[in-house]
Amino acid sequence: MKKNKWLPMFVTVVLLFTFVLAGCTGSNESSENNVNSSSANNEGKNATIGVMLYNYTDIQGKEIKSYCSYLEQNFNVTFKYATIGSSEEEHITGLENLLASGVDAVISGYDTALEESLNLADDAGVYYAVVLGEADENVKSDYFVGGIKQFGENPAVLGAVYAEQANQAGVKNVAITSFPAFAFLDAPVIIQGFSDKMAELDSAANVYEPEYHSFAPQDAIDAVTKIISDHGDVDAIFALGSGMDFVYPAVLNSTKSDIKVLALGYNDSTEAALENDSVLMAGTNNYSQIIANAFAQLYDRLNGHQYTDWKPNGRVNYATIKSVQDVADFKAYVIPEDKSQGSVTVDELKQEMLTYNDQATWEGLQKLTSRTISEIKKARQ
Amino acid sequence: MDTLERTEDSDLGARTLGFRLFSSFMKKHKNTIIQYVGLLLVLLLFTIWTEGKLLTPFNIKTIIRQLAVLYTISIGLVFVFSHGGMDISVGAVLGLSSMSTALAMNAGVPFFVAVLIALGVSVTCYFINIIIAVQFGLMSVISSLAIMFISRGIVTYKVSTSVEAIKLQNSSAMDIFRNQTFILISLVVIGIIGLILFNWMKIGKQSRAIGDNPLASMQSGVSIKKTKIIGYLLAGVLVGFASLFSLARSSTISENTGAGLEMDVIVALVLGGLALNGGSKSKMSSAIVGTMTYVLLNNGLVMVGVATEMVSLVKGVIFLAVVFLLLRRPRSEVVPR
Amino acid sequence: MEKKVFIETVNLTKKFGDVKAVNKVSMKVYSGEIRGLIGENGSGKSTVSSMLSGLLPVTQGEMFMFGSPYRPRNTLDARDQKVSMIVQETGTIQGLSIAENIFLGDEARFSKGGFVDRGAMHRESKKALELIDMGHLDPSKPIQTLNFEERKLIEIARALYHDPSLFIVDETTTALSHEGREMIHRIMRRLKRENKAVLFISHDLPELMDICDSLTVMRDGHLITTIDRQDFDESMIKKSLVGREIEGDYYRSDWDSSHENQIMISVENVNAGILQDVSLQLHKGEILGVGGLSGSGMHELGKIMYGDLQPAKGKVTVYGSKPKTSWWKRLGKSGNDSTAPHDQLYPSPMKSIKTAIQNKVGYVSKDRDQETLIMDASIKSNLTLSALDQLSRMGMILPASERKFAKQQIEGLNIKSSSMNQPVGELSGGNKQKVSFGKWIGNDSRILILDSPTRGVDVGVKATMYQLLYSLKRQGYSILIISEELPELIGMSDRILIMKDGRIKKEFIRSPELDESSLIEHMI
Repeated sequence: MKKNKWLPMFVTVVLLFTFVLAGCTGSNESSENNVNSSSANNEGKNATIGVMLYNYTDIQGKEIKSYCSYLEQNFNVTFKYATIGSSEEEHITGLENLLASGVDAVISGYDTALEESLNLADDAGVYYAVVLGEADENVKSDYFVGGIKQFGENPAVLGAVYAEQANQAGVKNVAITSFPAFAFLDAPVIIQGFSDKMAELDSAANVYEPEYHSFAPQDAIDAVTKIISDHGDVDAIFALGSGMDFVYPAVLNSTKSDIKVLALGYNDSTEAALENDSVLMAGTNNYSQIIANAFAQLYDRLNGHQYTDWKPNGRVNYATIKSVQDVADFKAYVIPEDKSQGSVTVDELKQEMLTYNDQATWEGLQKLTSRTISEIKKARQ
Repeated sequence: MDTLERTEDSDLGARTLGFRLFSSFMKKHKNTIIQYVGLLLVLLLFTIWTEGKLLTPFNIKTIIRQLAVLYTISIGLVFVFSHGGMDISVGAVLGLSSMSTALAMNAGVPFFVAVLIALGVSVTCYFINIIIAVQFGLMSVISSLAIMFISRGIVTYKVSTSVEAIKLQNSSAMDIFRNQTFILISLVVIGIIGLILFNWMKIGKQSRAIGDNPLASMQSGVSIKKTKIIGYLLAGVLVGFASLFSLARSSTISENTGAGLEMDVIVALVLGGLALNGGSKSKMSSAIVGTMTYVLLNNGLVMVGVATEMVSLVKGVIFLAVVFLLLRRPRSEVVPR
Repeated sequence: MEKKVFIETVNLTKKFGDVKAVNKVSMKVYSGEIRGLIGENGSGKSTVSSMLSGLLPVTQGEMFMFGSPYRPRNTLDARDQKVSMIVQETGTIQGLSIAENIFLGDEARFSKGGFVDRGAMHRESKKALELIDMGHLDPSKPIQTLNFEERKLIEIARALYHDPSLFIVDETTTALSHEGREMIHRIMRRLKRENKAVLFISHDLPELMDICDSLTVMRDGHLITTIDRQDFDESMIKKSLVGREIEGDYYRSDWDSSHENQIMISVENVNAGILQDVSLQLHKGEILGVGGLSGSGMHELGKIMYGDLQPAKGKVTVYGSKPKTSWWKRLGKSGNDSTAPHDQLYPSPMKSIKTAIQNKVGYVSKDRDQETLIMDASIKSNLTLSALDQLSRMGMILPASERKFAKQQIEGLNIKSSSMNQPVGELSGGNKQKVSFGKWIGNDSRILILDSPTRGVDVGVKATMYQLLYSLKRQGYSILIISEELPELIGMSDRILIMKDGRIKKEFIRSPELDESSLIEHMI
């Protein structure tokens, strides 16, 4: 009786799976049906777009997914998500799997192994966009729609905006933390913009040499500790590497918790931190603008249209938050539940897409996707 | 009435006989069958779910390409795991090896020299690894940890201090390693060599003996040090070879090159039924079956379009199911003497 | 004295899968008796004791204690009902102290507010140790500070502490030296005086006959007979054990101690560990016996002669194949090696196990299961492991040649197994030992160093082993037998060396006049 026990066990396990998988695909199918019914009145052709990100659980992943489903409801398009790892091998594998599953275009978060990725995309005849960073302009491919500059046309300007806020708050001795430049290419330019503006506004202000750190919370803690011991009089930190998630908690737990933080980054504690003045400024990528920008170009290409004024790297606005009011606006216009109230609405987007508007230009699309929060707010009223 | 009953009876008899034959067959070949159950399960499941799309020529090509790196490495590491060793440096060593090759090729060395460099670097890493372990009586996982930090450290340092990204200037030089036929032939040849070395040659037999009982192996004339060193050197050669596949696939090197491979290998080998503590239960086929299962699993999940929230869960369930089946070895009461 | 039935089994049956290890055994054990339980390996005697002590669940049948049903759920439950067993295999746990080992699984007894009260535990341990006359030990010391024998005695202390009414001793004495055995015998007799019952399982028939009040013989899972002390008769018992007459003599029958003069291994003035200035020669076609108490250094001597231990002083030389010159040395010389006679023996210093194997020396350790065999590996793998070089053709060991090799040994030695792929761990003690012999006979070893070759092996298998050893001798093998069993040494050896305190005390030449007492005289 013992010998046959594993057989029923096996059957049980197989059944277990079947249920789990049935659950997943079941939900998938239903969402596909929704798309089909609601997109009946669209003129663009049916397309499947693959998305590749490290995860879909942080605010960035969630917002991107949420905007994609907004697009699914309004265009004849389906998104297919792949979770990938950070190594080249995992990136290529993820891309290959998407291609094999039959997608028409791919939105990749990163420019990992860009050339080989494009070779694969070329071979498969699939359009490819990099959305969370600038792409190497020397890379040539008919199927490449380009990358996106995260900090607007000139990242130095963003640095200057932070400097103005720092100056208004009256801080004198500012330290800088950042991820290393090889991983965060725009960091030196932003830091330069910040330093120049600080010098211009207040000749008495000190801006210390940047402290570079790696990608774990502990690395940020070490950097903050070093800053405090090196510069006893430091009264603010301009934190470029996960400012809200890593550096702000590190400061609070340090021996000098009254240091003000100017953060690149946003999370749930930002509102409270701004209120009690421990954070002077925060900011984050505008995820809707990012996806809108890439989607518009991919979908146009799939429908046989290409901007005559196309350039490899587009741009989006880096949403900055200086006050509690800004947080409210951010929530209302950058990350609203209902994306039709958000940064880029379908109607606005269609105006800048050749599929729907013969007059649309690439530059027009960039303008649409690089509006600041206040500009968006104005457009909504 | 009477006859009717009898027919039913004999029918039942035939069925039970059939079942008995089936179950006795299953019992006899249980361990072999179970090894393939995971693969069959995944294959069947995803073939049905993708409505056959899993087995389109295009996707089969994709799967073969994806197999190359993991498969080659896994076969090498069987020689490490079977004698009771444990290695977690493989991802970092592969990164270092790929980077060295890329830099050498950019410096203009001939292709075959670049190949030798790839093999040389990883063989050196594995040699140092086992020498540290053997000479200082360290657990091999600890020495591999050291090798991992050093290798990853060198790659990170070089990447972060390079003015521009490290990538192959003449990427087409690696075309041979992208050639579908070459990959397929390599996989078959590596598999056969692995099977022969492991099943028909001293190194495999002695590795397994050491994995089970080093003392008895030693008293049977097995040189433990020598066997372990040869095992690591073999692993080194194959990791070096895999680094060429990897470089051909990506053409670029970053601080993340090869990251996570060490875990993938372990998961794949477990899926293939390898006992990670080594010994006579170790099988080379675990590497072959396991990597196929693993690649199919990852490929299938994307093909089906399983919701991202569910991917991890589904993977976990499948992993658990396979491991559960594998661990259900006949575990009856032991007869006292 | 009126004998009272203490434990009774009725149709006790145990199945392992389809195999009935114990088949309808009905026996009665009385209070105040020492009952011997004897049988060949696989006869079911250990299975019976395992069921009595709660180690194995019963498949069918009933057990009664003083007439009421007795169904131990596990060994602790059995112990609470005053049934304790000490077994050959399990034992103590390294890393724990003596006291912790004595009260393993029973720490709650000393619980004081959630913590273990070490002081009380040590006091009680002391009491337990005194029961076995080892009160001088410090219970807080780690168990590994004790030697194998002392650890065994600790187990006995553990069993005795709970004041058992039935004390089951399962083959424990085979692991013990003379003194250790004496101690257990004393304990058993004391329990008897206290009107307790003892179930004594052993292979050693003389020992059983010496100490038991009655003997139960088992064979193939059946109870064959129970014999009272007054009816003990060795040959009759042996006959009922194997179910047939043991053919011919148990040991070899000749008294011819001659052998060739060719020296195979020579040990000269060796000092190593306990060994002091040991010299001896093993000749071609000789069976050399080495006897002594377990601490006499005889086991170390075996390891020295196998290259497993290196002497601190003196040298060990083995005579065998021509030492291999490395290829770079050969480059210098012109190669006319082929003129050398084929059977010429060359001396080489014993540097390592590798030298030993190259020179056709085989070794079976006293601790066979740990050091000679690989339990999880198949019979085939075990047999071929030391013969891989011999089996290899162009570096490959083909499955067919492996199977042929294994088949030869399995048939030649009559190893009983379901297939050559069966793990060795599933075999009986005798068959395990045959596999470890087969390893060396198969790889053409001409010199066999056998440490306790018949330990844990039953009578039937013993007889075939003795026959095998004798036929090997006549084929020109050189055999060194290290053993604590003096009848075996007297019965088999051409020459016997008695060791004491690391030195060779006395040499005896084979003769019918030799008896145990004259050997023991030099051992103690």
